[in-house]
Amino acid sequence: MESPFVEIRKLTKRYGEFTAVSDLDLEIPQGEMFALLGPNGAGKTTTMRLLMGILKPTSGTARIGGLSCFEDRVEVKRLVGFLPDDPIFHDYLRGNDIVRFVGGMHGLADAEIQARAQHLFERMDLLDAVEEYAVNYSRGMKKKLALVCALLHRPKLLILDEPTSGLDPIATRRLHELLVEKASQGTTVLLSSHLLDQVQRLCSRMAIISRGTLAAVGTLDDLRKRAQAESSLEDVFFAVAGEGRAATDSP
Amino acid sequence: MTPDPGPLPPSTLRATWLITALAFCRLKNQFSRIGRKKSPGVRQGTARKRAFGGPIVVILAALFMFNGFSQSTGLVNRIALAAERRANPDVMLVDRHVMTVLDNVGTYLRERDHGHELEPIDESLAKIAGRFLDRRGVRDDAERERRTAAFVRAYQERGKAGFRESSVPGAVVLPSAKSWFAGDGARGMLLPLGLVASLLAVAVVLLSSSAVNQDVAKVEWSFEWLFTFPVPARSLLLARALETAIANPMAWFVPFPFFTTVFLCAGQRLLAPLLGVVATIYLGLLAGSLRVVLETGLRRYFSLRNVARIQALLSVFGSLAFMASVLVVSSPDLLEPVLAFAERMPTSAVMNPLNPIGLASAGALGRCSACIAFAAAAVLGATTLGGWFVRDGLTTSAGPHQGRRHTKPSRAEPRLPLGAVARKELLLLVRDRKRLAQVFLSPVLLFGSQFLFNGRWARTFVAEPRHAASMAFVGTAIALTTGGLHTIATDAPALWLYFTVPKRVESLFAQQALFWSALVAPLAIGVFVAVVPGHGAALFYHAPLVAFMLVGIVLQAFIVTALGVFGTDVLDNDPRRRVRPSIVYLATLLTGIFGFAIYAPSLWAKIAHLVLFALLAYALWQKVSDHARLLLDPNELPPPCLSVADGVVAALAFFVLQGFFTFVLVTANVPLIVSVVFAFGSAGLLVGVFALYTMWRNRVPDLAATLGLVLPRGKVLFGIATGVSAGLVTGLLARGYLLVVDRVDMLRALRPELDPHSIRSAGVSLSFVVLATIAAPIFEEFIFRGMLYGGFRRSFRPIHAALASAVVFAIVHPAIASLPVFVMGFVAALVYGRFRTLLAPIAVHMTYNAIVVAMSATL
Repeated sequence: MESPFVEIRKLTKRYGEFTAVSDLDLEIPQGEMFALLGPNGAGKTTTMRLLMGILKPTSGTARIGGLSCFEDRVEVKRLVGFLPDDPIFHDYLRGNDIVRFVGGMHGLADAEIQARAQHLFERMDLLDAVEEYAVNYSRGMKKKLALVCALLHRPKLLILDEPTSGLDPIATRRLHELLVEKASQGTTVLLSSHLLDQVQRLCSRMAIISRGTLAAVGTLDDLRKRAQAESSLEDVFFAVAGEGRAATDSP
Repeated sequence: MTPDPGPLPPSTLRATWLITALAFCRLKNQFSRIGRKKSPGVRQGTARKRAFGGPIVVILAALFMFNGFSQSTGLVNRIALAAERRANPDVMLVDRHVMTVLDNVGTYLRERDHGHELEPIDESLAKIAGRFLDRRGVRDDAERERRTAAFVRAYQERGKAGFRESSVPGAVVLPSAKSWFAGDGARGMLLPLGLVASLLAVAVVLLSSSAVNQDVAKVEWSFEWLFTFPVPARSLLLARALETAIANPMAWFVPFPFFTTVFLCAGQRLLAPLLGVVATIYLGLLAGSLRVVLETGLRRYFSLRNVARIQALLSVFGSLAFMASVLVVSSPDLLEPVLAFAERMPTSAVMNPLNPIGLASAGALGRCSACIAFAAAAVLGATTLGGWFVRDGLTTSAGPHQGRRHTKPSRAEPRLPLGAVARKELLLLVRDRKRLAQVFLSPVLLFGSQFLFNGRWARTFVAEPRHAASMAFVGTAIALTTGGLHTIATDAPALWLYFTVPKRVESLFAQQALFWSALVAPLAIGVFVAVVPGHGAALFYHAPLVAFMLVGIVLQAFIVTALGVFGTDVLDNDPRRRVRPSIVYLATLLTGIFGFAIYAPSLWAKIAHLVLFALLAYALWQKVSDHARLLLDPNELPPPCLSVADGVVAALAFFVLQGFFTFVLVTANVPLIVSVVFAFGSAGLLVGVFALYTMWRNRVPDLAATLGLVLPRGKVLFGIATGVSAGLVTGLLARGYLLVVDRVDMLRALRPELDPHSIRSAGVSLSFVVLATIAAPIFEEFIFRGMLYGGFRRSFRPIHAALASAVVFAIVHPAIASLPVFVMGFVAALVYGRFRTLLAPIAVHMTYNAIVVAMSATL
């Protein structure tokens, strides 16, 4: 059997006494849209930063395309596009400058960057703002710009930390269309979100993380069975995440 | 039915109190976090308390305060002396000491009349005058000459009657009413002091209102946040003005000591601190009023970019006024120009009710109420105006999230042949006025003010090309520190971009360092050409010097960028706290090393300095390579390992301790050769033990194998045999080299005191033989092969690591011995690399030294 594109084994990250991610095991095959769910502070962002090689695992491994996320981080980044939860840019760079910088760093020629960025800016409805300084961008605009940056080098894996937070409904729908299109072309998508109904529509499989540990993973049906909950993902989420919370809270 | 309106909103007074208390709380938290560092096991995002933050802040504050008082006392004292002099133009005012000496001059003259041969009276008088002027701290040559001549003339014309003891004491440390000259009415004391007070006022008002550390163009979160409370806008603005007046460290550390000192000296006694508080708050209120108008009005009527420009302009003027006032207060040389300027000014320009210096004169309470009334009017006016500016709410007063866009047609940007990092850095520098000012303003101000206020001195200083080169170097080094070092902190929130691209983060920082060196190098050349006599032609004549300086700038750029990477806590949310102050001091200190190298007496010394500076840069950069990838990880540190920095530190400690021990022993009358041997041995032992202990504590894995302290099976005997033969070859080569040197006149001239292998004057004693053949090989091999080569080996191929360690080994030896020592060091490193046990290079070194010592004995 072909090894999964994203492979997380016993992944643990501790900040001193505090364990942000604990013994996490996940596998995501190529072309899948996968969601990481969990309450605030559950360890979703830490997991994504570990996958990006920004953080070094305390123990365990994270691999993308067979490459170790921390040790081979340079190679890994050729495969991955990353959207942070709250992207911050240099105040005095224009949208265009930032995209050109990112494209340059990925080794793209200027003409190529322009062509790709033009297309992406159009799809993200950001064309009006490309000549504006990033300091004047709203949160949603920054998110869109960061998305353009993440998509620019046509990565095989998209790691998106709450991609739709701050986006308006139109932009959200456009992004969803874009993601579905990418996935159909073989791009793997790993996203985190709090908008459960969107996840339910978009993602084929999902994992619920609670307090750094994996509470449940599988398709929506799997989760329903596990949680013995009816109908919606929201019910499942409450059953699973709430259960973890109750278990750890009790003395 | 109306809903329950909830609690009543706070009164204006209460709101003001809450906001000011919040500002104090913020200040306190800012200061109490001085001196943190990234420590493993602690999460950065979580607020942590520092146990020693409090005492340090108190000590620092006390130091600042004391400095303010003592500098101001000095100023008042100097002005009083000058005023007294001006009030008594027909008599020389001197101290008691001079009066006593003048008594003796009478005796001296009588002895001369009796035929004794003594030095001419004029010279004696000039000496007395010179010492007197030293005590008075007069340093300016022209001024000294003028006053010495007047001194001699006064004695010749009128004898002792031409002198009188001054009523103002000479050197005063604490403010006292004695150092006030009340004779000449307001003009003598109050005019010059009023001038300084006006400068200070301009500085404080402009700097605190243009908010040095924050961008007025961005709506500060707290400002927007304040408007969400059920308090009328005018109350909020009033609170803002009062907050600026009270929670303003700059006002309390600068104008407060100044005014209190002046009022104490003017004889206000117990009232003085109170009046000092009034004067300080008065300035603070003016600053607060201006700030309110700026925050509301500028944003309403100007585009964001222009607001930023106006703010930058205001802070430039503020800094200039501040620097000028500090210079005037601290430099005795500036007294005369200030007095002359004050003399020409109409009294009303300084002595008006609006200048708080007036509180020093009679009727302080009346003037006090005038000041208070004016400040109240200013605050009232500002809040009314501000309230009018925000009458439509904050939405129209601009801000980052206003959603307004100036869409410009995409224009073709000039295609610069730059890498992505360099292009980004250049764009940011060109567009961000604040950053541009930050980078280039401080060197320009620093040197510009010297030329402006100390012109004659500065021009004579730079007449020497080496001075000009060192000035150009130091100036650009400051720009590198404010630029290359601080931009890492400024750009920290956007650093995540570096982690999303397929490039090593350290290589991106290296590109940044290259960009900064390329940016400032032409500036250094420009400064050199501008100040050195001969200008453009001098560039040609002094090409080697300029080239030396440029290499230094590139190395400095790497050092400073490396320090920026270490010294910046990129995860701290507050940009002001991201850079550790100690790192900035360190960068300044290291600037001094190369600034000093420019003055190195010989080519050899220059090369040695350059190699050491490059070594330092490399050692730091190797550490950057370890740390950069973990920059965004709040607690992970790179795995412990041997690095070039360890070798550098060990080598430095070895030489320093050696020198220190030798000095101590020689001072205690131990014979030189014994001292040298003993110092060498104990320094080597100490460094060795300490290095081992440190690395063991840091848990360097496989410590013994890393340092070559192992006996690999089957390699030891072969290694020693190879070492001995390599030592024989290199030793014989050295012998041949020294024979050649003896035959070449130019080289022989270097030889006598420089050759360490022949302390022949001391004779080849037994202890020297022990030093050369046993102690030196063991300790030097441990440091230069075990640590330094090992450190280089981590990043270099064996042959390059051997070359690098041998170069360092050679340059710490005297010029004449460097070539054979280099060859020996290179061979020893290769042998060590091959056999992985220090015994092998020790064998090389022992054999080599034995041959050289034997040769010295026979020659």
